[in-house]
Amino acid sequence: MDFNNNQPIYLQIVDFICEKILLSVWKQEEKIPSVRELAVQLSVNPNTVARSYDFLRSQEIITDKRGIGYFISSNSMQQAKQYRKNLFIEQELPLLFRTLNMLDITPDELDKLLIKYKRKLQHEK
Amino acid sequence: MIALKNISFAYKKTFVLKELTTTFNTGQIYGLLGDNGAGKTTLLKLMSGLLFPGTGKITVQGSEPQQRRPSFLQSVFFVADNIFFPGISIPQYIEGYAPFYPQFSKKQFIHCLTAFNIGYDNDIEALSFGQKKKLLLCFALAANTPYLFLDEPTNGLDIPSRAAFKELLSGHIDDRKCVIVSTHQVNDLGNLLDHVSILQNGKLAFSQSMEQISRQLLFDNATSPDAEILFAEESLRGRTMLTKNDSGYPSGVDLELLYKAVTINGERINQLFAYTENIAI
Repeated sequence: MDFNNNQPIYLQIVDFICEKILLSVWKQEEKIPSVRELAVQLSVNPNTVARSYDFLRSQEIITDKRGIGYFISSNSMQQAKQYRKNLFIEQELPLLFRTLNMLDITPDELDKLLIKYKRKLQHEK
Repeated sequence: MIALKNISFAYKKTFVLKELTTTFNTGQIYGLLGDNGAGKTTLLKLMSGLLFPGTGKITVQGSEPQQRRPSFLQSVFFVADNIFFPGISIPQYIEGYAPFYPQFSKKQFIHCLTAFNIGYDNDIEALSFGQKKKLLLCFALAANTPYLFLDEPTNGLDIPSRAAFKELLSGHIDDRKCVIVSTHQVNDLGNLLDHVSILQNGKLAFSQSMEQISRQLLFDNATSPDAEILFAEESLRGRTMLTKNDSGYPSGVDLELLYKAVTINGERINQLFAYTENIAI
């Protein structure tokens, strides 16, 4: 996994897990790797992964079954989407708006591009 | 825990460390940064009992390194930057040296060697410099000492081995272990650190946890116009800046930028942290 400098690593791991959930790679009620396993897999400090898991638990995206491990919550899809959506609106959208504004791109133009993108996705499936 | 109190050390009349006071706790990986000759290696040697402080006191788990008690010696491992091995084979080396470390795990040792692509049956003399370094790192990790000091561990390692080493180190740390890594290659090990300490002019010019750093400081290339710029640097993406973090979000940390900023504007940066500590009380 490639980490960038723009966000703390623990939040980048949160994003990584949210994406796995939103793309249904990790499914509801499924067990996820232990803190230690994921730390080795991503070559990061286990304390960092522990922070990510704490955060995901507070967002009700994962649950901790004592002695067994961490599991994807039953309503994880909803929660993960909500979390990512907020993040997108607060952090990514301002940057996007800045560029859109700079290049005079109208909502209409953007809409057309989005429709085109969705069609391409459908086609690939 | 390791506690250093008012440690001063000089080679002949050149002072390297002056009145240095700090602590290192278990369960953490510390990054020790500093210019060449700043005293990183000296500090690690003092804590391993290879050098004795001129003044001040060091305790490692309650015992003083310079007394070199067996219980102390079996709880620390120091990987120096220049390495020496006797002219024997790897199995002979293990047979001779592993018994000094009660927690040594041969299984782990083999696992590490495999990760570095080194065969167990080799003669040590037949290995290249980089391979010897890897062998020593394998032994150091497998020794499972509560305190592990690594002096420039990724020096001399090839690209795949750096990645392998990061993975091995991430699997090594637990609540009972303390790892202190001196390094110039902040990009190699940055993701693994819990805490960053910067040595300058014989003192710790900066010492904070990554968590605090990401809360107090903002590393970004676009900032609000009224933010106080602590350090700025031109880069391909525009200006990369270090400012006070008022965003309410933890920031990503660029250790190279932080290092340069502390060199130039250390006093002001430390003030920001001191201020928050006071609020916490």
